[in-house]
Amino acid sequence: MRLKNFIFLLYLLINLTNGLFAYSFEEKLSLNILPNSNVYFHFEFESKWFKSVKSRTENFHNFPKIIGDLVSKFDIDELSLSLSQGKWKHNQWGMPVVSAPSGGELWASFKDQASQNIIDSNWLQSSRAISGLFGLSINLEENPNTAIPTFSILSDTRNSSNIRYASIPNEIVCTENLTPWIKLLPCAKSKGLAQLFKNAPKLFESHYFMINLNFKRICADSACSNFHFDLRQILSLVNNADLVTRQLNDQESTWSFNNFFQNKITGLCPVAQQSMVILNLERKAKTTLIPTSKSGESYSYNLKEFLKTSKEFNPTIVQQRQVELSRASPISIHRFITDKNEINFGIKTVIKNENNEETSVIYFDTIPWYFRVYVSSLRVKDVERNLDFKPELISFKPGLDRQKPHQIEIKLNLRPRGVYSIYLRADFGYLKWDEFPPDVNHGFYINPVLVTINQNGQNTKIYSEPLLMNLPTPDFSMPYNVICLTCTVIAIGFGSLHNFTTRKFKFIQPKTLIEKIKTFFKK
Amino acid sequence: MNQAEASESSSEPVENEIELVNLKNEDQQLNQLLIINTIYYIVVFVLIGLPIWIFTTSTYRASLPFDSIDQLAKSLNRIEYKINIEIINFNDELTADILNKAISDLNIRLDKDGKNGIELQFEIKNRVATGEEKKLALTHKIELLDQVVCSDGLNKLHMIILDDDSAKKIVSEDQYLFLNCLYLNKNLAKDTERLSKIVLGEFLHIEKINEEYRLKMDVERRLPSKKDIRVVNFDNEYEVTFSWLNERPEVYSKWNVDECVEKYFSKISDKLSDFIKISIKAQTLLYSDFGSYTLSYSKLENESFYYLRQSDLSIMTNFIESRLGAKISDSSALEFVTYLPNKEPLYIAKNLQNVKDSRSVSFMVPRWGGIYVYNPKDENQSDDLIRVEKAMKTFLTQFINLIGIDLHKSSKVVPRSGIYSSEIFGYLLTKTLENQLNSINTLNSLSLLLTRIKSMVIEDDIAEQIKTSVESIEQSLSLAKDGKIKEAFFKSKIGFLSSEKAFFDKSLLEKLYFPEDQRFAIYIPLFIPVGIPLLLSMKSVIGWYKKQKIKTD
Repeated sequence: MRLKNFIFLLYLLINLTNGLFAYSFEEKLSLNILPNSNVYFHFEFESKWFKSVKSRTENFHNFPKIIGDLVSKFDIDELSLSLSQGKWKHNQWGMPVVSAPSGGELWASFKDQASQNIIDSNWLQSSRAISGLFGLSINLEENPNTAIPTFSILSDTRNSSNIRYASIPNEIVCTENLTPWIKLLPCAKSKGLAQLFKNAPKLFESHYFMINLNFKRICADSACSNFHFDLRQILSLVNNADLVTRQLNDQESTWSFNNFFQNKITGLCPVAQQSMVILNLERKAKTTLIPTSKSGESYSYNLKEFLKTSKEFNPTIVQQRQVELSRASPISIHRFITDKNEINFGIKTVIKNENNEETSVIYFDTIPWYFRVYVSSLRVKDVERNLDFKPELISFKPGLDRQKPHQIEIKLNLRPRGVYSIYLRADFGYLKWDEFPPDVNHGFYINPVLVTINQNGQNTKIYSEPLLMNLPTPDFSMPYNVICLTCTVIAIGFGSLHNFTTRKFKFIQPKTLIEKIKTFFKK
Repeated sequence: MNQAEASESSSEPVENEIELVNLKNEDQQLNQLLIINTIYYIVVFVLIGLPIWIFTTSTYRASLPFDSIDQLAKSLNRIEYKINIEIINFNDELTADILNKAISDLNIRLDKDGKNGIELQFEIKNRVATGEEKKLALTHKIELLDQVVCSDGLNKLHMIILDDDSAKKIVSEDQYLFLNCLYLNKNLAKDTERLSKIVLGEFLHIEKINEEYRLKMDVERRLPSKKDIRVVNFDNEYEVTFSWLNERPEVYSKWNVDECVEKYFSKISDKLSDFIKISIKAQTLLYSDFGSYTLSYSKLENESFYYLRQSDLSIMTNFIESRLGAKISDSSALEFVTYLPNKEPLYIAKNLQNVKDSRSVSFMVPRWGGIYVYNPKDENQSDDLIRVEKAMKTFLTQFINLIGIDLHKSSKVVPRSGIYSSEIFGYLLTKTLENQLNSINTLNSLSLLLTRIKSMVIEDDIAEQIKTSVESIEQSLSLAKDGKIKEAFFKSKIGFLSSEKAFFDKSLLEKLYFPEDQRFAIYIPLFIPVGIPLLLSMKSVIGWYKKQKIKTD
């Protein structure tokens, strides 16, 4: 009887640990105060799934099955998708917690395969699947934009030749892309922090909106027979309190969560092990709500405890308008088009080191194939000294028409407060008439530059703005016109030649006009 | 007046003179050259210009085995199958007379009205059970017995015949009456009529096969039977997903799905793994967010419960489907959802007049899967672990139905924990025929389409698929004729999958939206200025030719 009890207990224990370790979920919202009454919300959701070796059934528990299927089918080790709207203003807002370029960016790292072709086909197929999953319009087959960065560090652990990177600046983010993203959360938007996303259009009334999805397969051993999936979902928002509350107070603005989201957090997702809200007030703002724990000026609210005593979580915050930046950007980057003429144009990127110390950065640029870049035109300049500057390393992979973009990587050591410019010239390429997108006159995007800053062993990413450029665009009735024109030319040529070579000459009696008329009527 | 007449008379001879000169000139060499020039233009235009235009504006078409496809379509009128039956006796062997009589009975029972194109040939063999088989039967290891009997492959249909004495020992105690339908007592063993009835009805599903054949050959395309609508389309791989839609995660946090899958599904998926792939996945979803959807509430004297009307089921399925998420794999998906409702207990009312007695907790969605409503109170739930054994049994039955395996009617224990090889034999037989018919039909439609619509492109790899399909189906038909059902099934699978792949390939449609008349319209600016002078000069060439003919005559 005792033994039976013991076995039962053991069984229970195994079951319990199984349940505990199979899946875990944590959510966190951190809030930062930005100058000019701006507020920065940063949501982070992390799901982990531990593959059970014993069971033949793939039981995903609360982990999104679709992501599990996707990464298993295409042997993906790491995947990152970010979509954003608006531009993060580095000079005003400092550094974001996670950077993202305007529009979309997708990259993935694949398992080692027998040949790189398998990885290429997996990449194309998975990008198509992701495109379908999130309602995007990524089409890497018709618009080949895949780069394989060699020196830029996207992932800390993976072999760089297995990484595929695509920047999709023309992607526009909307609620239709947000809905599938929210569905990946275990409680969707029913419970927990995600309750704030219930009124989705409200989220898009912000200055800056970004969603990100980051998947990692984390191996326990080198052969990767034991692994777990780690899915991090990030949503960032920058909103202006004055615009939302419509106050006109010179010094302060008062707002609550409800003002921004028109929703409050009332319940918790039961599978969440941790549900935290951290308000980084830093003497720039005040709140009356008593935090569950406090360190310095950052107030932490453990919602699990908090919601035991109160019905809802909706802090009211009084924020000063003019505040200092807390996380200034280490470098600033700006990109623009210069010296444009009928045949070619220049792309200039200005990088300024805002630090008082030497900073090493990697510049990573992909330019679509239809802008023909000349490597001979590449000039790296120290702007203040007006001298050519020799970078530590330049890697240039020329693009191939309809196959891959031009890819430039430059390693630079920026001196303190130094300003550098990188200049390239590019020709306009010609597209075939059926290669033009439907909205040609909108222009063609030049991907934003990714600059990776290596500071004290940590990699920080900063993106430049994307550029828009017009390509020589035909009138689209052109194909028919061309056919007509060539046909006419051929016809004229042929007609006269035919005439010359086959005409018979006969003698005829010259007739007066009246005679001609007479003979005409006689007929 | 006179003057005028005079001038007219004087001009006539002049004109005659001119014509004479012209006629003379016509015989000159220069004139000959002009005619040759004209002919040269016409020849160049017809021999080079027109072919170039046709070649550059026509669509690409790889060569296809149209003849073989026609041959296959014709062979549909008469499909031959050979069925090998092995009778295993636990007592005496059956005499050759009985066997012959059984075969003739089988043939009589077959619907031989001349219109039926399926021709079944039977070959019955007869042997006494081995000691091992008897031992297994007596110790009720029915599944093991099944395995031993079928160790020589599934090309034969095995039947076990018991007599009274042994039947008492074996059958009466065992609940899984796999043997029940084969059970014949000593007298009945000679009752060949019953034997043939069982073989055709229970093992070979002859009605279903005939129905399938009729449907495929039917030009009017009647609606398929209820059973046909239910069964998912044949696929090489099925992805089975067990989802737990939990409306009360605060209370219930775990379910024992892994255990139950192992217990109920792994046996079947192992048995079928030689023929189709089945991958099993599970997930948990929280909060369905049914929105405005409301449940009916019934309150009776002693108990109150919620119920779903049958018309609500599709709405409920749609809501659930939206939570299940998209699919990545290409295989057919079957969804089995355990729904733990917020308002308990919840039932499905089959009859609105008498909800209480007709209520149930599960329903099957044709070609999709099944939904089981889990009411913790009814299932004697005490802790936070959901035990889904009952649900899993229901899902198993639904799964067997959905992929189209027919269970023996006389095995009354439902839900079952496994399937027997004779049932798999029946499955293979029906699916082989179904695949053969489907892929021949597909190929035939494709070849019809291609002959009618000239602007359809056929790429090389599509042609390759079609060739593979045709070859596999031909092989499958001849294998079936030889009684090798298992091999015939594999070939028919390849044939079916590649014919579907070829038929639904999007490259077929590439040029379809470019109308044929446009091909001419675009080139009209070329054809008119070039064509009209050529036509006119052709007229002059014909005139010249006629003159020459008259001259030589």
